[in-house]
Amino acid sequence: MWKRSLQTIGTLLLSLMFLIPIFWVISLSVRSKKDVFSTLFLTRELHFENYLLTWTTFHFGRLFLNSAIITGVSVLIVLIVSSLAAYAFCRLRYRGSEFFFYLILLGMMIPPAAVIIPLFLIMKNLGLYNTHLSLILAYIAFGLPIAVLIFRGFFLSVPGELIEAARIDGSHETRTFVSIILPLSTPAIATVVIFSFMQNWNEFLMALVLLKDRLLYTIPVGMSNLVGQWDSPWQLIAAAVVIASLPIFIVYLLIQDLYVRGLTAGALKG
Amino acid sequence: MLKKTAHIGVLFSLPAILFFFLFIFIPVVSTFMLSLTSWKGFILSDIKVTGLSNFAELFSDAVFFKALTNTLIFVVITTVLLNILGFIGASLIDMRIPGTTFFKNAVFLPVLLAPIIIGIMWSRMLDAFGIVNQLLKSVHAITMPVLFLGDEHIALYTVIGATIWQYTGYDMLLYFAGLQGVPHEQVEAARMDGASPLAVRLHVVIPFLSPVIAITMLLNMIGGFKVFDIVYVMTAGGPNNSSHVFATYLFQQAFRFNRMGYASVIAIVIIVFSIFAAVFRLRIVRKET
Repeated sequence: MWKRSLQTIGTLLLSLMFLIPIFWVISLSVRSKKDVFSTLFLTRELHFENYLLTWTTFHFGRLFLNSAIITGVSVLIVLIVSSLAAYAFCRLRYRGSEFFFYLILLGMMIPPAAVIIPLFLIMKNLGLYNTHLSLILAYIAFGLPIAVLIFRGFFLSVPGELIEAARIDGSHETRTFVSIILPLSTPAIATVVIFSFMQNWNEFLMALVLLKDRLLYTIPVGMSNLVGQWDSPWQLIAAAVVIASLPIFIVYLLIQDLYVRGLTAGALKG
Repeated sequence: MLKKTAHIGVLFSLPAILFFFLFIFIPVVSTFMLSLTSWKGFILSDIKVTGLSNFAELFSDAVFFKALTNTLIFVVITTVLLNILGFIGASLIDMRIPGTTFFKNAVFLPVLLAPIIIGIMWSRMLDAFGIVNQLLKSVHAITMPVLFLGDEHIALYTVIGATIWQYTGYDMLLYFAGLQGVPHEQVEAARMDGASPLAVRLHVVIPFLSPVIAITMLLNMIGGFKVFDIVYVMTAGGPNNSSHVFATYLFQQAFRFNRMGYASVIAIVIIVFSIFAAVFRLRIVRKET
């Protein structure tokens, strides 16, 4: 019994290593200007108006909207394109499909940094530089490989008789896919959505290179930009950190188990 | 019949193949071509073919070698520590004592956030006026603030520390998932035979986990080779170029100094390292299936 409670206390102390920095940022975010450097954790007064000020000064409404559009559209298209391709690669094979599958997998190994220069060049020539579309296209391309892999792994586990039966019934391949395969695939869909959502919502390098206009910035680029202005007051930066983190925490709280399962499945299978 | 499904298969997979060719394959090929040129990145007709001179420059570039060693240091330290801490954390959760769920969530929180946000947080905490220096001063451990990000000898390790803080939770979850597959009977049998808890871990649990260990280490290594965000936001490669890694040095050369050709050579180095990782990864995945 003693040993158990000691273990529990130890575990909680270890948790503090991860929670103290977060507490500190939250406490910083509600301090007055003169309290910023004078206190460790507790402040005498709580200045929640910092949040309002941060929200308006750094145009957070705009940043959220931009990130939501880019992430939403790219995740949706990744979902469609990758599930179709994965289905083709395991159930509608053709000569060369194996080759294309492995080629796309190879894309998983190419980090964005390695191709960021030509990507910049291509987007400029397509007239897409400094548009949301450029990021959406890039995110789709870099999100596809792992998504194809996840879907393919799942489709291979769907019994082939099911598809054969539908074929014999005269169901068109597209219909078989949409009305039989997809409804069965919710676990794979969830994994892909969570995985690519995390990737795109947090992505920084491509957004930094492909967007120039402040009004188009995503949250990470906007955040790095506001810190780059060295006169940004600390309490507002801290409030910005909290604001930017909040949505993902809420999503996590709502679908915690799904989230964890999605991330581990995505990593271990990919 | 077969021909018909093949036809649809081509149609289904075409969009994915197109995306791959346009935005990954063509850029990779272009990188190799650009590496043989000198170009400022503005007007296409200004590209000058300079042959291998960019490669020659690379071999005499001290900052590149600094970035190379830094990247290797980053990869090795983060991979080793993340795996050790992740395994310890996972073993802790697996004990299922009161408080472990709380612990799991606390450690996992930073994983959810963008590296940019983690970088901003830790930059403030480790600033001369931040909480870490405040605390050190209040216990009289130091008289002058430690310049965690301003000291050439420390900056890289500070960024490594923040990275480990962020991703311990990720490795922990992967190991925890792995631990769920360890057969109970074998652990119990070893215990009955009088093996110590440490011996059980070393001789029963860890051998069983080896596929998870391989995948996790590889993921950490791949992540380490392409690290950019957190270095960029915490040090931008400074002070005095002391904390550059591949990606930050590439970014600086390409988009700060407008040296697209030279930066492409650095990109090729990244591609070469990535391909090595890819080969290893394929081997591991093959072994498993």
